[in-house]
Amino acid sequence: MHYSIVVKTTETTAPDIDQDGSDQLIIQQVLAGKRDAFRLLITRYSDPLYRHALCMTGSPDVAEDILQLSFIKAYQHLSEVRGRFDAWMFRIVANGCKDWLKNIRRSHLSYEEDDQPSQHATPEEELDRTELRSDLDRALTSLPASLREAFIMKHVEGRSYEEMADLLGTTVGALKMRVHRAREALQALLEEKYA
Amino acid sequence: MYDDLNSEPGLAREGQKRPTPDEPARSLMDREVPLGQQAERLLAAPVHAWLDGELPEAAVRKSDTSRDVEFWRGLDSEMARVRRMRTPQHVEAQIMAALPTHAPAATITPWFRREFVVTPTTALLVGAALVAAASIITALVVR
Repeated sequence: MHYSIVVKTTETTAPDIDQDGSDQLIIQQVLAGKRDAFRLLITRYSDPLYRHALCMTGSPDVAEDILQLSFIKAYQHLSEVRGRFDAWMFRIVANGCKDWLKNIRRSHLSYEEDDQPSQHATPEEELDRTELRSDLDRALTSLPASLREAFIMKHVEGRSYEEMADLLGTTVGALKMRVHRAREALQALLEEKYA
Repeated sequence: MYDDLNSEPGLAREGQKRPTPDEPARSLMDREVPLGQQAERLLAAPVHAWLDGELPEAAVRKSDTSRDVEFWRGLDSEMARVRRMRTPQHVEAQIMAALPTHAPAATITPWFRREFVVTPTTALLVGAALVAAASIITALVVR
């Protein structure tokens, strides 16, 4: 049996939706019936989660679907959040990607270009970039899911090994091994053309 | 010719070599699906260290690893493009429209696991109630 006593030094009422509020505060608001507050969590975390899903699946449509289903799942189980919301949410999306990869065998999918203006001056350079993009997509999708996931978290999301270990529930050593293997496999696949 | 379905340690058939107990157990990662026909190319440890941010670029700009450095610099500029990608604008509205209209169900926890919130007002009220109860009991006993 365990219980805790929280001592509050000030009286509080249910706060209005606060753009800068902590995740925990927003979660309390949503649980109290302020459904619109959930939009703040979507805005706050959708970009990195979308990029993860996009890189894992290689398809913008699938990434959107996974993101949508994950946020709905998160909303339905919001009262079960323990600890950091972003880490909890990441695990939902990552599991969604893995489930999708388990069920689908894709032959050829690649994600669309972003809206960013091109920094390459000539059409030849732009053509080279497009080719590298699709080759990188293809090489990434040829990796086993666990290597791809580790590589994306390290090189696209820029996470530290410690953070990755925390999110994936594994050791730093195992993750380093995965990232190293992914790099070597990618280089083997791409270097003939691009080195 | 038959498929070996007993490749896991402990499942070896009679007469086949079983792994000895002092053989280190191989982690799941080591047994992952091979990466296809493409042979893996070993990267030098300093290149991995540089890519992990543990070494400066100057340390790997030597003749034998400079080709790897060029390759990863080229690839990094492509990955930087991915890092700039954002969720399409319609997705947020789509998610909000798909959310259930009712508030998420709160998990029902037994009373002894719930948090007891003590605000200054409740603390004062409880204190006053205790004093009142004590004085009533004292008055009854003394009478």
